[in-house]
Amino acid sequence: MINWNYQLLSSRHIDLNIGDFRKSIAIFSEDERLRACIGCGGCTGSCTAAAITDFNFRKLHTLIRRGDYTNVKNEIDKCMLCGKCTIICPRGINTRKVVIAIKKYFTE
Amino acid sequence: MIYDIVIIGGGVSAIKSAICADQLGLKCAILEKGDKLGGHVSGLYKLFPHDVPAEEVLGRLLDDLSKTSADVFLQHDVVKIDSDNKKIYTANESCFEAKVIFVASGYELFDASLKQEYGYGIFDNVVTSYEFETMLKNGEIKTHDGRTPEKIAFLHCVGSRDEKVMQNHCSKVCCVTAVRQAINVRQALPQCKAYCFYMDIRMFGAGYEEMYRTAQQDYQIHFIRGRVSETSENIDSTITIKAEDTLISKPIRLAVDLMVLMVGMCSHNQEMVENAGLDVFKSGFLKPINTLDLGTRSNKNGVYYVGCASAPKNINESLNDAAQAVFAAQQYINQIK
Repeated sequence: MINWNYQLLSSRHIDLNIGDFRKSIAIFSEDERLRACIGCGGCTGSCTAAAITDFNFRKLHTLIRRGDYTNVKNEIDKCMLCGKCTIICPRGINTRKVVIAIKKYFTE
Repeated sequence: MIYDIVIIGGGVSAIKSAICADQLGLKCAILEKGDKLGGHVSGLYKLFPHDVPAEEVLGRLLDDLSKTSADVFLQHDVVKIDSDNKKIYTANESCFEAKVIFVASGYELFDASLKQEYGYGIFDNVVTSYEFETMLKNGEIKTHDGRTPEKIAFLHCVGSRDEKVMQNHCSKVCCVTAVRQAINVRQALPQCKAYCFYMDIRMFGAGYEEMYRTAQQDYQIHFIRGRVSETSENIDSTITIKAEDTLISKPIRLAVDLMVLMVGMCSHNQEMVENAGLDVFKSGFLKPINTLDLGTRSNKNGVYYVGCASAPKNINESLNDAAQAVFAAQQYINQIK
């Protein structure tokens, strides 16, 4: 068959209809307060790793909450578990515990 | 007869004004254009943040009103106000004279069909928040073809904070209402998922932020920050929503069985008030002398604003307006004696 070099582009949309949320739910169960995140960015603002890499914890856990698990493993390894984000979170989320949970579910 | 106060409108702030005025011995008339009192509140199910039934609050107000000497005139649509001579003319050609005029004409709900991209009036399963309130009240949360929905989306800021439809203001209560309606859905249908698409979540009152947190954590309602840009109807009558999740900078797609548009508050009666020489904001709402300590005082002596005629307000603020304006009116009446 002749290869015309055409291809279909895959959509960048996060499709909430077909997402697999099993890991998200497992992470929620570690600290249900994560559901109460208001996206203030306090965690990322205080983040030691974010100061020297492009690590963005707010974005990463929001992606996980939306069922988008691409590259989570590589990203979460940038966290140094210093725990400053936990001190700063206005919703009282134990973000350090969330990081450890993410590591647990995505390092297999 | 010359009334002490003639109140234009028959909503909760008008009723409260009449009750307060009666306690100070002032004789009032309420002019309501419709055939019953209660205004928008009469169509509500439960009131945020503590889920008090609207009927209970309205019932209490109507009960208190019935014990006063106030005259209630239904189906009296005010068409003209003579703010200098304090005369009020209605569509059925009656004329009322007063010492003081209260404008409690409230607001109009935003016409959701103006936001065509949301398909209101085109797609079957798109309803306004006020229509959804009726569904909650009747305990019948159903799609157009009678199914129980599995996913419901609430779209915030429909007709608020939107230059495209000439509504630059925030309607204030829609955020709280969306959160409350989403909670009511999760209580009535625990299997149904609820999504809120918001630009900002504005939880300004006592207990509201706490309710928001309960919605997130205990009722597991999904809050997605992003304005819905596009919707389309699928073959099975579900609605596909497209938006950006701005917290992760990615476009997002979701099909829901029912889409609820949180319609904002619009000003109305603009012509009537402008001819009366009353100042208005650019938004069309009546402009008080200031919005701080003189929030109910108009630019005309003896004309007062109560409730949502001057800005979007919650019920508590509307009722407080009534008490504030009645005291100011009494002072004014004593002065002109």
